[in-house]
Amino acid sequence: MIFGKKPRMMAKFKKHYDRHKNNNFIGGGQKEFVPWGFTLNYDNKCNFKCQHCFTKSSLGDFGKSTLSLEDVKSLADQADELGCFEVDIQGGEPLMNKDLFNILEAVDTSRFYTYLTSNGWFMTEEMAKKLAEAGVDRVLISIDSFTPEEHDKFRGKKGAYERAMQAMKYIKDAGMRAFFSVTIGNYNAQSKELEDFTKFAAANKYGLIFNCASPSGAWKGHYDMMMSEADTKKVEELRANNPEIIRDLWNILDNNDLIVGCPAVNFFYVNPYGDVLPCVFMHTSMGNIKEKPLKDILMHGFEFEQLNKLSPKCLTGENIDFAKKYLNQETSVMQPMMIDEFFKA
Amino acid sequence: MTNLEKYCNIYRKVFELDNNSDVTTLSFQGIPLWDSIGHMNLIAALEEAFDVQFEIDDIIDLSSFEKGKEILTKFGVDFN
Repeated sequence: MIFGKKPRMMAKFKKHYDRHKNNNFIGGGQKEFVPWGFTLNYDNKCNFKCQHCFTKSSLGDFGKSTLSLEDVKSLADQADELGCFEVDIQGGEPLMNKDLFNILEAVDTSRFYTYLTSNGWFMTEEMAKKLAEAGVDRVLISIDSFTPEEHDKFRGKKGAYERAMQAMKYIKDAGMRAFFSVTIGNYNAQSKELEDFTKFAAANKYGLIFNCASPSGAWKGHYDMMMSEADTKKVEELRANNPEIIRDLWNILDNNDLIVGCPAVNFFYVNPYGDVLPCVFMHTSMGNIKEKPLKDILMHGFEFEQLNKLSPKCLTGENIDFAKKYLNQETSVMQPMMIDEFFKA
Repeated sequence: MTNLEKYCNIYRKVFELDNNSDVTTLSFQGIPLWDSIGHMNLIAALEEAFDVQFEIDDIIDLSSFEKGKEILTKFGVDFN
């Protein structure tokens, strides 16, 4: 059992934090090459049919993982060496993955702040306890509406809301941090429902992670879903009243209102074939971990000016020019276009 | 405000506790928000408030309210 302070993780985290602090949290106007975390989609299988699925698992784009546990270990070893202190195990639905606990072992959770992003359907009291014992620190449960019927409709599964809420309780009771993962866009950012939801989360000591609705995957071409400046402003206001709201481009510890900017490349995504993508919504491969060292892959991605300049906005969810120029191409999480071609658009 | 009051208030703010709550018995993982990220939040807040720079050994050792006082005392913070 590794559930505890995780000294190695904390040492990397502290180094990363100090670096941001010394640069006044915004890198002095420059984005730096400082890999700090990654998302692993080991298997894209899912039991839901969510309308906005960025991996298109809802459309049956499952594929089959070609990553071995040795590949996962090598990926984690390299990420650790580069200073990464966070890992997010996603899918598909990670709790459907029969290799999940072997993956957690291969990652070696003692080195990373480890979390899972799940729809909660398969979470049980026993599973939550097992995850905590395996060193998982946080579980994010995706939720799209505070209205059960709406959530179920959006997720394409009756009873999804009820199970998601029950999952949150199991996670909290097992001693892990329970977070809602909420997609925010032009359709809900300024809604009273979202505001009420943040209050509900705070009252129940649940965290909230906001992800920008991005026109990629199953939502390709849906630019109307993207956040406007007024939406972003409203979300910043919610943040001021609830410190438990997290966005990946805000200050990592979120103890002030500064931002560190779009983390593309520095928080990268690995698909079931080993392709390394700059972020979950930018479906372009910077290289494959079975062919090249991770550092070379990430540095190649960082050569592109679209990715190495500081962006205070989420490129895929708040920058409509970027989205229209690059996200409308024939590409996907499972079959990502190579980066040199992607940015020629 | 004394250093002790300042120290107590940091715990209340970081871990979202009521203004008058007793923080003297708090320890790592004793409350949901004091997980490893919560711990780093605490470290950052203490560094800023007391103008100190913790070493990794201090960060690992800081496992409770009382231990934190001991460590800050080592940095010259006076709690008397």
